[in-house]
Amino acid sequence: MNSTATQYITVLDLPFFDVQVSDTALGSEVARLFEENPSLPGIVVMHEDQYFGMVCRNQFFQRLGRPFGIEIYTPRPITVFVESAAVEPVSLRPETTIQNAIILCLARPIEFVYDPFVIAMKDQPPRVIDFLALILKQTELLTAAQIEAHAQRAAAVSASNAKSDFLANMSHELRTPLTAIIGYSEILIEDVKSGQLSESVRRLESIAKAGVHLLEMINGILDLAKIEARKMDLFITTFSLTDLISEITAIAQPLMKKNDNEFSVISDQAVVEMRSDEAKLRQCLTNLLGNAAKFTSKGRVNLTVRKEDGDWVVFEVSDTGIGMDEIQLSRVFESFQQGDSSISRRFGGTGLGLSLTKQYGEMLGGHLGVQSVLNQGTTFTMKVPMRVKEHGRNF
Amino acid sequence: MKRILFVEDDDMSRDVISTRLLRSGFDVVLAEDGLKAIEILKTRAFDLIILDMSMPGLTGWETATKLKASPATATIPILALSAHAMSMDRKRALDAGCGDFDSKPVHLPRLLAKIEGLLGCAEGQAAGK
Repeated sequence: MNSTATQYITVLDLPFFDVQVSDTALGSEVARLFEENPSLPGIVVMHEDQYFGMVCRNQFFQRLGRPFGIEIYTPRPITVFVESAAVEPVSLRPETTIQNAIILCLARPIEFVYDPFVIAMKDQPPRVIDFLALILKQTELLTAAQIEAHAQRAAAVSASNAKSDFLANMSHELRTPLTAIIGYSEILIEDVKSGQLSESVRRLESIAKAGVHLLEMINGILDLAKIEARKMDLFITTFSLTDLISEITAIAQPLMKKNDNEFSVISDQAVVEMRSDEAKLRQCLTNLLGNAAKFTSKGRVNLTVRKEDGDWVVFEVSDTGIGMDEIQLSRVFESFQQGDSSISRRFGGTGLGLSLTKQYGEMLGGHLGVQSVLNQGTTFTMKVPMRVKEHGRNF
Repeated sequence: MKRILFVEDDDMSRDVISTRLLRSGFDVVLAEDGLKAIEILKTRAFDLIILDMSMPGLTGWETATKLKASPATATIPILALSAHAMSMDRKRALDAGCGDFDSKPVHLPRLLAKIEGLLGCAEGQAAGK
């Protein structure tokens, strides 16, 4: 149950009684009805088809218990009792919320606070509600709200911690290329002053490389921030899947050669055309293939494309690379968590690629899954709709 | 000439920081992870160890703990040098046995001051014995 729903729960949700008598009924008949229905907290008195008043069990029997109570009230019409009551029973409209009902009922004088109250219905007999039922309902709602608030707080704390971790990791990842850029620049200043320029080109290349790495990382961070702020747009077009696959294959080939990996593409010819965000899909697949190439050496990488369940396209990138253990696998889609943080330095990459690929997969209406065995290989499976719904989720 | 063992897994950081240490007049020996550093320490004496913290295999924190636990290396001062730059990272390094902490990117005068501080401290202890 969520908190917005709790606010809209009204007195109509409470168990009720609708025993009524006409205003000509005698006190003795009311007493008999109460005796026959021990759980009945009150009886409505009607004048023709209009609500006239309510007899509360406790007040009624208290009155009968007074000197000459029985003699006064049982032979006379019940209206005598109703008109002599010290306070009018609380009568609420059907749309009154539980919270407001509590407030109104607790405003009664202390000796009447446990009395039942009435809901004045449209086109239905008035309802009599036991005050205890109201209290029980409120307790139930408060407990649910409390449990929900607790869960929300836990989720907020966990999100806040994740953000702090992200910032700490980001600071670390940005500082590493900056160490090279600042350090080499200062060395070069000394080189130029002393005329020792033999190592300068190598150092300048390192500065450029570190700068490009830094830029890739900043772009990745901005993309993630955009997605989180729901400001990342989809550009949906109709395009040829066959063309996209040959394009990706061309990008992936040189990456595969770098580590002497065999690479093959197995494509289901049934899928010819897609309606999706081609650029984001290309980025996702290039990233998955780039990872497979990077973490596999003298092995094999396969890209399998197939149609599934009618309207879905499944891209499977499997490799025979270093794989991941359970801990690495559990953090594989988190930012800046390349298995362990030193992997980025050994294998390159920003540490944001899989995080982005997963988010893009979800934006396209699909999802990204992973299976891996340490030292045996990894398979990433990206399943996306063949046609993205135009009026789907707005990012 | 004071001899420093510089332990760092990132190629560029190792190259850039060691060049600066050499130019500042130190004899610098390089190790690319904690295990290699421990191997080198078995055969050679050093005045100071500069230790990166997040490294594959044996991390900087683990390396520092091991070195401080071994009588042969316990007296060599360790300067932690890390791209983790929060105050708790400093505490974590000091808790692992490092004598001081500096963050990357390196600010050379600050790094040199910390190196001198640790070397001076070690000399003071040696003279006091």
